[in-house]
Amino acid sequence: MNWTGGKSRLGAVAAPVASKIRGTAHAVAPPTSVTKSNQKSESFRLSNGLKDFLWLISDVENGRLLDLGQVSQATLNFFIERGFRVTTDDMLRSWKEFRSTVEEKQRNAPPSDFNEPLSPEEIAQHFLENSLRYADDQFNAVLVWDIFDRLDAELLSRVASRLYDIVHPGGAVLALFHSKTPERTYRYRIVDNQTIEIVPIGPAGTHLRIFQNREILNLFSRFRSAKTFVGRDQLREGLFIK
Amino acid sequence: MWRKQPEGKPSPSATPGAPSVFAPPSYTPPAEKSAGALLSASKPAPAAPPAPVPSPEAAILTQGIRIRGELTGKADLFIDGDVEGSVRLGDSRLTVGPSGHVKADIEAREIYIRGNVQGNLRGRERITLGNSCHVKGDLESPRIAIEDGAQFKGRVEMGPAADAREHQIKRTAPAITPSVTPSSPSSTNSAPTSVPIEAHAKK
Repeated sequence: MNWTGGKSRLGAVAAPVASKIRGTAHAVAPPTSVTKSNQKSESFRLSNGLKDFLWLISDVENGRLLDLGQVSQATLNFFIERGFRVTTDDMLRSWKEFRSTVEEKQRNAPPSDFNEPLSPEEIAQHFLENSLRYADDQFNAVLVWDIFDRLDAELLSRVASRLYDIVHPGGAVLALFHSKTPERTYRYRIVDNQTIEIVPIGPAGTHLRIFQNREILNLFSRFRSAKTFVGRDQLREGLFIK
Repeated sequence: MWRKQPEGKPSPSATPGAPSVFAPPSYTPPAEKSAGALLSASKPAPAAPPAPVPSPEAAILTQGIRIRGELTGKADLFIDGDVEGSVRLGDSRLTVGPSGHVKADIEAREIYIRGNVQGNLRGRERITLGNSCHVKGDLESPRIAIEDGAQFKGRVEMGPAADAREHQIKRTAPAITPSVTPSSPSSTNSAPTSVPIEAHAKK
């Protein structure tokens, strides 16, 4: 476990957060802890990040959760049974659809109407003008899963900043980061209070980067605290608190 | 533009060489083996919903048909064409087939989506998103089932609030279609109804 954002960095703000975060040393979760077979060992992982994430939002009444991954019945069920209102927004898919639409428009534009093609930054800007548009401080919790590994570079800081805006003070964001290039593309769903199921959904190829810890912290620097959990299965979990 | 399948008569598609836009689709939704447990606010682990096969009595709007306006009625409806406007089937089931494109707010007793829908969905009893669906809008229902592979963007609201709202929809349903002969909710499941779906041109 890496616990970043100590007292010197967070100052007084960190005190209530630190008091909320339990324990001082979480054991690294071996990927085989929940499993009985090889197949299961690849599918399920104990998640200390999820455990802390859930604990942080356990006091919230009528909370709102935003899931930025693919919709999952299990995850929806899990949070709705706990009284959350859930919003699902498959951002990666929306981004890919938006980008391909823009690129196709630019390709098919008649020469007379042809202007300078939009830069990747401009496309990202246009995308965020219509996506992830939620009221400030609206969500108590956000599940980001591993989309930061798979988003285009020009979106990363913009999305992290937007996340900060829409999360309620004290709210938490849970994100996953691969430490090595995964062999497959995965989706994630919550099984119970400390278990995440990792479901392969396609071949590798959508994974764009491996984050260094420092890059992760920089990306979420607006959040008042950050905590990362490193697993033996090359999957890091980041818990960020506004 | 659409009608109910006459009872006791073979479907138009069953007659060789007689193509019709009203032909029932060959699509038969599979059982929801990939769906997880049905979401329910009141019952933690209810049984899985029955396979949402369009009933033989359902009015059918097949591929190639396009409607703009307001659809109201008391009969089950299967949409595999394009609909833009609003769909209100107070006490009936709506199924959007894999080729269906609906850009409308939908209210019905049961809603099953396999196609493309943009709009808010209110299911008085249940909403099911099939594995091939693409839904952009908010879901409101006491029970919601989402199959693996469903694409969904929007808010999900369940529980007492959604339930209460749905009961209100039920109460106001006759006012939406005053010309329709009212039928008891229990009769809609089994007895075929002769009431057609109504369409109103959008003003």
